[in-house]
Amino acid sequence: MSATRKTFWTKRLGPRSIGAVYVLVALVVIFSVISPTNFANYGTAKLVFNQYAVTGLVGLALLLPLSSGIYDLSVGSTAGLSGIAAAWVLANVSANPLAGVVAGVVVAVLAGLINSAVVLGLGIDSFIGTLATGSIFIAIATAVSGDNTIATNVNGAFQQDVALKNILGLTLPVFVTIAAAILLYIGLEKSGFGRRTYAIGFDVEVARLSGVRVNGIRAAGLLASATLSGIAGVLATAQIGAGSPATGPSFLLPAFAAAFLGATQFKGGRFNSWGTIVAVLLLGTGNVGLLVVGGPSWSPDVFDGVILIAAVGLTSAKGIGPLRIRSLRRQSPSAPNLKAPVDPGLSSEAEEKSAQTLA
Amino acid sequence: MKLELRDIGMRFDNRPVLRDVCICFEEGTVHGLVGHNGSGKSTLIKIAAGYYVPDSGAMLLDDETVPLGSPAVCYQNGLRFVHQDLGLVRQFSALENFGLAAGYDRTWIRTVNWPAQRRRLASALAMLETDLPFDRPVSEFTAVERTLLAIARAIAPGVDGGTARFLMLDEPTTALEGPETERLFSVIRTLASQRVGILYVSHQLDDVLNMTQIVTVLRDGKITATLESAEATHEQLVSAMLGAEAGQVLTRPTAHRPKRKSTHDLDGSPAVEVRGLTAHRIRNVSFSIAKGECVGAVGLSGSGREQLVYALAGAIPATVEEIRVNGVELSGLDPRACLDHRIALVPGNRLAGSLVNEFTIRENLTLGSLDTLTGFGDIVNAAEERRRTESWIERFAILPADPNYRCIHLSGGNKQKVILAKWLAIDPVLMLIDEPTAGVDVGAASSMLGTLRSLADDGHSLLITTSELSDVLPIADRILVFNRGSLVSIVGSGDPEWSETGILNAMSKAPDSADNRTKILELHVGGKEKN
Ligand SMILES: Nc1ncnc2c1ncn2[C@@H]1O[C@H](COP(=O)(O)OP(=O)(O)OP(=O)(O)O)[C@@H](O)[C@H]1O
Ligand SMILES: [Mg+2]
Repeated sequence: MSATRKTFWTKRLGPRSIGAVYVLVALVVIFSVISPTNFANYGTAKLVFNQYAVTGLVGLALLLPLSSGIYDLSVGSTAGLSGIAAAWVLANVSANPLAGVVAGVVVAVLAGLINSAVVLGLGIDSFIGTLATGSIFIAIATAVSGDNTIATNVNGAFQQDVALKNILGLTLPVFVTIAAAILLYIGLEKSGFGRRTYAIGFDVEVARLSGVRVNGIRAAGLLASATLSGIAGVLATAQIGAGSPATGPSFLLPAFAAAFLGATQFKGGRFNSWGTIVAVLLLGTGNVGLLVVGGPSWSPDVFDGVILIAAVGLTSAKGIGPLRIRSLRRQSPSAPNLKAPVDPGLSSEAEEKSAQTLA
Repeated sequence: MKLELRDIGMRFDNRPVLRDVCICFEEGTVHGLVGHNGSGKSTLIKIAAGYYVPDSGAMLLDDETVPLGSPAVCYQNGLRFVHQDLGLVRQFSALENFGLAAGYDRTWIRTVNWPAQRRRLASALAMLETDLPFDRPVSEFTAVERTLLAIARAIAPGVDGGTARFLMLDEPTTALEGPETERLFSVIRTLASQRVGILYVSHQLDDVLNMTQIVTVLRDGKITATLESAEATHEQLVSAMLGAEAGQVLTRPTAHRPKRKSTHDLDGSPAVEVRGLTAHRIRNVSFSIAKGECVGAVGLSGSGREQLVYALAGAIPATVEEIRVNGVELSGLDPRACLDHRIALVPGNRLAGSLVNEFTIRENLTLGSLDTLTGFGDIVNAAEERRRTESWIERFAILPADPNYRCIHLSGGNKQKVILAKWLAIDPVLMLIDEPTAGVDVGAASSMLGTLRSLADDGHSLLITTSELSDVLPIADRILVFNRGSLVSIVGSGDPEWSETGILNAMSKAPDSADNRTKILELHVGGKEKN
């Protein structure tokens, strides 16, 4: 019993399950050694949490669509549109912070409905479909704002209430993101809905034949992703103190990086909220750390790349990724030989899987 | 020329799958390999193919070591494979899939020479006396066509003209029907006479005894017997596969014949009534099944019986005039409505669409019955889920008995058990089962049939479609016989036609003539009255 317990925990906590956590700890140690006074203090932690909460929220927004096997590439644009909607209402209708928040969320829900209609109603491939709707959303945002930033009433009570109030220096966006992570954790890993979502993502046909309402669950996912990214957009607008159509789209790539890096952590191949959170913290710590120790302006980009490779590389040695060296393969024979020329024996399953991981 | 695998040892996740396996294939010899589900047959073949690297052991071709883990070198040395999962890319056309293993012919500017490629595939298919649409994606192929393509790919000469010297076939006949199997056998004989060494894996022990000269038996990853096929008996193979005691009890599936109910014993109310079912090849078929009745559906390939269960479960497009389950009319044929009325579909294990490979045994087992496990806030009751999973694992002896084992690594027979348990968990009124024993070892096949019969005795209604009469004759109460899309006759277990020959005769009976139709109706109604 105790022996199985032990392997259970070493498996869960080993670098092959949570490589990103190890890289994160290593980063903190390295930065603390380089700059004990500037980096190793609570202020830095606050900075990472507050600055990267919104990125984390957009990353979390992606989890449901990705888990159910579809893309939502419009999350950045939806965030942008919601941010502008909030700013526009604040500037033109009511300066009450609540009005801004409600406007942003309502617009986001509408965006989610449009995405569902396009992807599930019209049956357009989600990659193209959400790329298209996202493009339209951001165009609307630009038109409404007249391609200007809207600061009127945004940098007042709204900013104060939504982005600056804090507990121990942690602001509202941090708590919203944590709440979203907990909800998604329960929704994906503890509920029947989550089980069905994963089933659809792994094998639509099996899910359908098992009586899962595929379109219903995917619609719920798209609606949730739009709503969460809308909230993220409102939060980001409050943090900046101005609504700008350019704010939202900048979250798209980091959010995808976080969701995909997160999927390699903890659950080996399933998109999950704690993995996403760790991934965001990793990216945040690296970037803030470089800023604090005074790295050159190009260093954060290099750093992001190196961190992603290190974190996924450490983890995927277990057998989820195609990154494998020969010696490792001998220890873990279940790993197919992906370096070899086209292999007649490679099952279509394995082929599809490696194609997915490569993509 | 001989190919030798020496002292092969292999572990997956610290579980030994092959232990000190030594096996030697001679040119011009057909070598059989049998063993229960999960005994390591496919793993051994994948090692020979260079797909897995074993923990220990070596491969020698004429006493020269062949590096392990290199599919390209294996191919150059003339080793050819038809793997159990065929290894076809579904989105690729037949021609593209062909090139994946058999190489691409090149033009002088190194682009693919498609006409030459076509000729090579055509000549390989000619050996099998078949033709396939070259340009259609493999996903649109039937199971038979896929198998034939994979075989053609393996026996075709390579681009460099190199031919097969050793051909390893992993359960090639699971998806094949009678005529194609015969053609495959004649190809195997021809190849053997051309000095090709052949490894033939199958659960059809009689085929193995007829086709091979030597047969090796694996049990739990160890070789337990190597016999001359001419002298070996069915019983010997079974006891080497399953252990001495089992060999005596389970000589062959039919020996497990349970006491059959006569139609008269059945409870009067039909559990399921189908009127005017039309789908793909099936035209306007009507029948009913009583509660606790086990009904078989048979017919030659292309007769429509292949689609019957899939149509009823809403897995393929189908229309029906009326379908009633326990007297309640279904609004339509779709998987959700079927689940709501507790109709379960157990596809043949050859078919994709039955298990989520990335899911654990536990997650797959409860996917259909999730509604009964969720409480407040749709939260899955983890303790209850675990308890149920463990009891199913115990009841069906699923191996490994670990609820959190991922299904992708299960052997074929164990997958089949998980699928069956998954659907039993919804306490089905009607179970639709396709090819219950395809790819399942003798022991498991026999107990599978026993299980199916006991399910019927417990009050579930069963509809089993199969290409093997031996799947239904021992356990069914009635058999529906299909020909060219129509139901041509219904044979009850008490009828004089109730025998292999009687039913084979009925299978070739022409449909459509008017009096034939009325006769069927009479039979149908008569059957109902008898109930
Ligand atoms: N990639 C893998 N990772 C972990 N375990 C595996 C893997 N492949 C196979 N196994 C396990 O190894 C054992 C042998 O499997 P194998 O597929 O060789 O059996 P088999 O004899 O071909 O069975 P069948 O007759 O059902 O096809 C099984 O218990 C299976 O669960
Ligand atoms: Mg096998």
